[in-house]
Amino acid sequence: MAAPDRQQDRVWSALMAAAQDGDGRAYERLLRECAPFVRSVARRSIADPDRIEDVVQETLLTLHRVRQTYDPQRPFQPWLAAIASRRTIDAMRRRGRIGAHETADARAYETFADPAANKELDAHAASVEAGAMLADLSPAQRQAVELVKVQELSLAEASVVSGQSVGALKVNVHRALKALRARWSGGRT
Amino acid sequence: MNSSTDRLIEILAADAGPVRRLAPPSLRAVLWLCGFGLVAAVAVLMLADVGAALRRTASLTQQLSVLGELGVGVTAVIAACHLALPDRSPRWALAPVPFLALWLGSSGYGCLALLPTLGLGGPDPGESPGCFAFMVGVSAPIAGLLFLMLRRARPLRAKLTAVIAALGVAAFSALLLRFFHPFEITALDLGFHLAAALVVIAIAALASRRSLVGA
Repeated sequence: MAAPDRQQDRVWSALMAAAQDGDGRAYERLLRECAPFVRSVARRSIADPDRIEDVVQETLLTLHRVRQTYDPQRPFQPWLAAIASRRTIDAMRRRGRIGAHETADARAYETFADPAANKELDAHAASVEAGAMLADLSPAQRQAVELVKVQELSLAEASVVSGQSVGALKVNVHRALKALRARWSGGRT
Repeated sequence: MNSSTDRLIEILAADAGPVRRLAPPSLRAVLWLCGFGLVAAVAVLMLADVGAALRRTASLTQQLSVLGELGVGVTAVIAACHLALPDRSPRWALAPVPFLALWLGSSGYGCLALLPTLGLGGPDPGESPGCFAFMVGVSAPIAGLLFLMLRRARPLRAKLTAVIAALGVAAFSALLLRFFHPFEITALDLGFHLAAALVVIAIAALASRRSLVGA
């Protein structure tokens, strides 16, 4: 580690120690300062800026969840880099799994005379309809569905982001899906 | 900075209450081992015929097997505590390997040496499935206590941590089984012991995320 890095590491280590003691301002400063570092770790393996930002957010959430494991006697950057690398690998695996079920097709945006071939248009219409149905949910239910089902956060992560308890999230997701199902089947008949 | 990342940082900072730092991993492992050792010693003294167990482990190969089991148990628990932390080397997973080789090598040799006198299954081959049930049954509460400690770290390498921890648990249950086994361990017994260890490790691996991360 170069000298400026060592200096920065000492600062981050002190900020993290303060954050562990409950200093919210030190924690916010630490997260803002270390986000570019996390971004640079993700950028070594991922090119897409949106996916890099996903990794940054996943890493910050994980950092928050495991912040009790940081030992202020040890350097901070290897601890953070290990979390960032792990989340980068997870993102790449997820991408690999999705890629295994998808095929790139340059003609995918063309429409055809056969109505069954115009799935793209149907999907667009369905997404507009789904958006309208989501808007009818209560704010807590909508937030629960967006975080847990759309963004695919774990219940613990969604709990941190939303401020809802894990139990409340489960109930809200369940009720939201039930309401959506009822509206969907009602609209289709 | 991306606005959603910015918003996330604000939310996380607002949620940042004080947390209790984990003690150093080796210290946590030693404390757990002391607690477990104490409970296990009391249980053995109360329930087992210690004199008979000591007579069954009089030979050098049996003593080496005991050393192997104890070594795997201790090193696996220490390794699991390190593996549970983000910044510790995954090479900690190799720590139990020398003792594992000693355990398997000496047990295998001991069984071969007993073949002419005790045969494949010993005087009562029907005991072997009981050994399997004992090891799996005893492993469950030990694993519960160990995982309870490990889950405080919310390990990023949950599966590797769980597998190494379960290896230690299986070794300790094999060690405890020695105090209740009616005769020296035969080849058939060893097969059932290894099968029980693999079952314990497989269950731990499958349940690793749920039991250690809560997801």
